[in-house]
Amino acid sequence: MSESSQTRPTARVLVVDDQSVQRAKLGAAVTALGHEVLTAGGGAQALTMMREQTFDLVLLDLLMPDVDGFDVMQFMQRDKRMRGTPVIVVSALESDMSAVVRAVEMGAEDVLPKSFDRVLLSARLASVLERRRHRWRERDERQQLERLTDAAMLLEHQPLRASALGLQATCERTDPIGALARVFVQLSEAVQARDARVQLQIDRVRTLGLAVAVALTLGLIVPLARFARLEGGSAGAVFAGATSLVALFALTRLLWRGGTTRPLSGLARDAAWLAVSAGGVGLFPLIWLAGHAPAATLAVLLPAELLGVLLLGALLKRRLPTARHGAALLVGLLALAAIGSPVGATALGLSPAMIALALLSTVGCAVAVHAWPRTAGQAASGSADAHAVIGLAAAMVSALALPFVAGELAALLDTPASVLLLVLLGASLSAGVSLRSDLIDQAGATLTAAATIGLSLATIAWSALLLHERLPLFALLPLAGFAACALLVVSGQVARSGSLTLHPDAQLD
Amino acid sequence: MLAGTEQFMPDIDIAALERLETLIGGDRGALIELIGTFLEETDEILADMRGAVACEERAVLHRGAHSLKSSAQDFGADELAVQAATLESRSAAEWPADAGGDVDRLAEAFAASRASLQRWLAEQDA
Repeated sequence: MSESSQTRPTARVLVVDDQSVQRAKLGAAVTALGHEVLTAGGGAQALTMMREQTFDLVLLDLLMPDVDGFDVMQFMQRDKRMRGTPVIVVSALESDMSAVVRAVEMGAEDVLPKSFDRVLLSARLASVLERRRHRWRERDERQQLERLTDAAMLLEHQPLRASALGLQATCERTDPIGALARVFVQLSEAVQARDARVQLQIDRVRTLGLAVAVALTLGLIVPLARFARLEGGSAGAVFAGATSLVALFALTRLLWRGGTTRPLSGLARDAAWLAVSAGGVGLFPLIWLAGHAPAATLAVLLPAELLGVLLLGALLKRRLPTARHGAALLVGLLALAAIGSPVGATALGLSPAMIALALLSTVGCAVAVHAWPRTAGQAASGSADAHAVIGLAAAMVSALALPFVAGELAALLDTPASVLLLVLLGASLSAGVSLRSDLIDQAGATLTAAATIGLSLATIAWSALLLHERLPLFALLPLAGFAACALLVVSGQVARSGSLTLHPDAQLD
Repeated sequence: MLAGTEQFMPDIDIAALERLETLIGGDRGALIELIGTFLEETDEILADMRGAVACEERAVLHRGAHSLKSSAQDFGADELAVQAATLESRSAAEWPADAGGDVDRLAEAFAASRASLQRWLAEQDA
């Protein structure tokens, strides 16, 4: 092994000579220098090999029958892939000087006499290979600089993912170009991280805002229903009146704003499900109860919906709830036990039947929230679909209820105050359900259900404002329990994803 | 000195063989193989040149002389190399007078070199 083979990387060399003995001598000499050698016995074979493989260098005899060295060089110049491969022509200089001059004019990088020694061969090969490496380095640097300037322009116009800048290879360099590339990538990562943080804040504020809006609108339902019941409206009449208005609002909005993206059969199926769960099982018992118990007291039971959603989630996934959800369930059940206990029931003025009916209502709402057809990530079309489902569901329940309560509803609508009350109830129900569907899309069923603690507090506040109801002191105990339950669920979500927003393709949780 | 070259070999320059052996990395086996190739190929080239003389194909004659000149130098066949160089230059532009005689002289010189090289090869086997 020579000194050059130890210090320089091996090159792939093609030796072209029609004379076997010259080919073998040159091949053996180049091999002895530590390079990989392939040989061709003529110009045609050499060109075929160069089309199929790449070489770092070609040692080319000029005088050959058929396709000679000049022909080979001419072909190489025309071929984009072969053009960059350096050629050393092998020639008997003393008799071939004009041929050598012609070869150099045609692009040969160097000349090797037929009778060469080891030192000369080594020097010529090293010099040509070094020039080639230098050219490659220059080309590589030029390309990487072009990438850097491209990346700079991209960064100037839009924040991009670091990986989209295409600077991975450039970053690995140890020279100033590599340092510059790393700065660019860090810059892009910093911008991206900042954008992500801002987006997270926006999502959090949006979720919290939605939750507050849901609480304020839906929080009106029980107090307004109680108002209407106290005005003499039957549960059926208030229910039918309110849902008719919801249907009217939702379908009017749908006609006004534009069509849905889903087929009617799918919308009708979701609407029927919503009508049964949220309407029949959820809303109707609540309106009935509003005639028999203070709205503020009923509000204490509303957060039980979260327990329903947690249990449903665990049941449908057929696995035990997470530790945090388990703890939340336990605290929530303790709060429920406090309400259901003789002391609690007496303090709140609720009979066991009323508590059972209120729980049935929360189960209906939990099922509705859990089964809500998510449209996360497609807000515009999803919103139209949501209104269609809500409108259809309300139309279904009101159409079923109206024939039975038409007389009672007509009696209720006798006074302007009652009409206003019913319109307010319908409007807040319509707005609240619509906002709640947005909240489910944005934050998922579990967080939406966790937000019922806010709904409960808003209901208590509205009851105090509109009905001058006062909450028994005992109610603070179960409320604190439900609040702790909701807090556990929300903190679990934040710990898991750092966000209060669902990923568009998230599974039902 | 190449081992086994103590005996006087008038038609071969042993120093050339030494240079060749160094050039290919000091591999005696490869050198022996290379000598075999040289002997075989020179026979073929001489046959081609005889054919060229018969048909007066100057290009073949010239290329043959050119090839023999380079190879002969490598293997220390100096007499063959000198004669090949002469014929190469004489046939560069026109058909040389007494081309047949030139090829015969090349063959004689090669026969002498071949005898020496074969003797050397035989010593390597021994």
